[in-house]
Amino acid sequence: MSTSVSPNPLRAGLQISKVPKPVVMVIFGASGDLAQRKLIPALYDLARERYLPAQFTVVGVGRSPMGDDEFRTKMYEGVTKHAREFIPGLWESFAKGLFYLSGDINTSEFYDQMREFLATIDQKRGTLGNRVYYLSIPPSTFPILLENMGTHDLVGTAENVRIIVEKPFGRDLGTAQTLNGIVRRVFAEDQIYRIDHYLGKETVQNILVFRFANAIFEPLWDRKYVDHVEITVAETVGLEGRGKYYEESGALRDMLQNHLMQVLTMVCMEPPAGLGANSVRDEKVKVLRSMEIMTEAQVRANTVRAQYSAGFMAGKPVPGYPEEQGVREGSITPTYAAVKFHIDNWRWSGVPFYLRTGKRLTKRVSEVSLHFRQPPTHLFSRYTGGPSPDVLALRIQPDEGITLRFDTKVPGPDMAMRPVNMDFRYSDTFAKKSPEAYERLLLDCLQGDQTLFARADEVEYAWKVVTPILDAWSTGTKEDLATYPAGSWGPVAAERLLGEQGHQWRRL
Amino acid sequence: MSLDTQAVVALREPKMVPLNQVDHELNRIWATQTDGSATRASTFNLVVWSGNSGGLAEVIGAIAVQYPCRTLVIQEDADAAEMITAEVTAYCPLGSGGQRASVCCEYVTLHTRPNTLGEVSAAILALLIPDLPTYLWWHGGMPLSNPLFQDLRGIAEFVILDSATDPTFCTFSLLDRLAQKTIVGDLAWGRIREWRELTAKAFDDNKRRMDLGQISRVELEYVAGDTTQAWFFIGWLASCLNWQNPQIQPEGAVFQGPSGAVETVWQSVSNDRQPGNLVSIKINFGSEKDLLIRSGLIADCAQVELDEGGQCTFEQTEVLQDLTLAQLLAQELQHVNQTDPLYQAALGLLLSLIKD
Repeated sequence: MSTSVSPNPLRAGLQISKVPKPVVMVIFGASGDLAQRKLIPALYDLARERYLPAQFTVVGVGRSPMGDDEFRTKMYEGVTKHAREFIPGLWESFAKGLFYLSGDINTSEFYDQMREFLATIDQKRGTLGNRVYYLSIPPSTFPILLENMGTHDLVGTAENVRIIVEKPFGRDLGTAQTLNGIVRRVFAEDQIYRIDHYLGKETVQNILVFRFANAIFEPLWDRKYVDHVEITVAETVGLEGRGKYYEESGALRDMLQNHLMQVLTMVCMEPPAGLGANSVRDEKVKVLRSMEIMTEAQVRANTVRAQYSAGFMAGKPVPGYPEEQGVREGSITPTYAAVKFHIDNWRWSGVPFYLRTGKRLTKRVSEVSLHFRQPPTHLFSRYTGGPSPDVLALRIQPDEGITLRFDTKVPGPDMAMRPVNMDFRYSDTFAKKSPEAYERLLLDCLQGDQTLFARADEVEYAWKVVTPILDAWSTGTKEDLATYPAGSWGPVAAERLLGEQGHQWRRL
Repeated sequence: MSLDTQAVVALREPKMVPLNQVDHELNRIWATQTDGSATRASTFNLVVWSGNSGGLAEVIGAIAVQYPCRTLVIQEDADAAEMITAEVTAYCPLGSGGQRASVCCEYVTLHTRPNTLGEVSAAILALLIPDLPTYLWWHGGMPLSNPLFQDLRGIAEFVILDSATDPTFCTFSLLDRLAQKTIVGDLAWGRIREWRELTAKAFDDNKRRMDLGQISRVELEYVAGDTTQAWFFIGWLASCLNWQNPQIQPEGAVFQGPSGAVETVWQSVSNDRQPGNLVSIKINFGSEKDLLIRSGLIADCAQVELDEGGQCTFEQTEVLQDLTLAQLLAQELQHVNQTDPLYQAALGLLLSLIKD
């Protein structure tokens, strides 16, 4: 879908140099929250910025009976609330490209109906048979959906048909392999876009630029200079009515296996041969393949699982996890996970990587910090303050930016020193607001760029690393879980995990 | 683009100081900001020639909120107490809800007597933050033979002008030469960016793209008072499509396109928008087939329609907003490497059009 017969001579040198081909995006699960809050607002913003072709069309598919007008009204509410900027004059034109098809994806007839419907849309809108299918439905429904798409000739090739799969990509290594098998029986890998919205964030992409477009950092980016690395993705929210879902997933599946592992691979990968999708993904996979697979004893030593208890968020009391709606009695689902990983390769051998994520923590913040080794001599150790380790922090959200902490002399006759921060903030430097993660990812898919989407082997290797922890954590009683009060930075056990090596979590 | 002219709040009332006290005074201002709510940051120097017109603080505030910088404004002042006096402050733009933005702009106004202009560039040079790029924005008439401009452009990596302030052959010719030597941003060219994008988008469709070779006539409507944007648009279209042998006609020009003569005409209309802004573009493909892009029917939008034999076969609404001065400037501040080659091509064509 990305190439055209001959380039448009009027596009040369313009800010938007490439626009996707006319296409229908079919969203399965369109009556759900994701379409209204994220997908359609992101598409509207792309249309507003002129990134979409005039004929761009959305067909929402759902079980709930709904007409086009009702669907448009529902999406209008989503767009007015969640789009970055709303221009009323544009809505009417955008809404003309929104359609709704209700039906039961479990029946074969539905797919005949859908094929006919899409053919009519092609006629009406000039979309030339180009499709992107967005699976915003539970993975349990994938087999029947995909099988029917295959048998009803809805698959096409990478040039004209693509499929976006929302996480979770499985529950463990076994289910991920099964899921990948199901999808790949019908679609080729170059048609499959496994979306992890974390990779759509500017700051995550900037890790590559920061590392490989600046010569001064990369020479320091290894075991010789880096003492340890911390990756934190902290949430303040609780379950937000998703108790039933969360009970089945927990912190490892919900955040660590995907978001944190994606960030980890970007931080640790070798320079890719190019910026093509497979060059980048090959390097990410190499990192995952080099990660230590823990034994049961290592899981006990290197991980901390915990659940939040009642506490206070922004001065208001909040219930503990066991009291949340949808949570099973005696649940051992972790809402917090801290893990120490090792990457056994030339660059990182011996450097501990501490990953932590949790709900109901003090602050909503995501950050990667590289903690550098102390200078080899102790020139200043006897002076006030003494040297503190230098830290390079990449802030992913909020307040996206980069901070370098280093020591400096305090003015005065004494040789006193103190750490100072050198700070770069995105918001202070760039006029252009960052697009929402979904905008970037949807546009990439429409243009046929898979770089920011997870490949099958990448997903499976990430599961391979995490599955032993999941297995170990699937057993036990409540006594095996640490607890932490809502509004705190997590359990004491997580501090001990780092403390054993003389490290401590960075105060965020 | 969401950048608008913003209200600004001064961290402190502007204070007149001797030239050699400017840095000291700025440091004093920042030393008072102990609560961390205002951050001192700079990504470039912006030197502004404002002539004898004031009132640029809001525009510069809008720039500063997005691009923290040190702004050095040169203002001609016949009543200045000394040859050059400096007025120092720092502005923080007001965000939504009246909150002060955290990053503020250092703002130094140099009041200069008319007969001391030659000494200003030396003063500016001493006030630049070292090792940061320097933009020169010449606000007002075209300065190309002005000695101060010649001095200042020597210390700036980027020069921002507005050719619409003096749209003559002489101006474009000098601009063309200037663009060979330095990086030039022309606000008049920036004003047609949205129209160029809309026009390009209309030909993204493979079938319609084939029609590009069939163009026989282009009609532009613009707001009366300035033809620069219309000229630039025609210059851009003609250079992109490789039209040859331009011949000027009253209110138009004829080119040689791949399928024969291409007639272009520009007509002024009266309305209350900014003089010179484009209003509509009609492209005819040699038969009863026209592509029409017109603004003003729906707020902040343009309508794109394809008419074939009296029937509308395609219509689309796209966002189109007149850019404010701050937005235009912000657009130019994003150019860091070179003068836009499309601008240079359009300028070359425009020169051949209006040389007579």
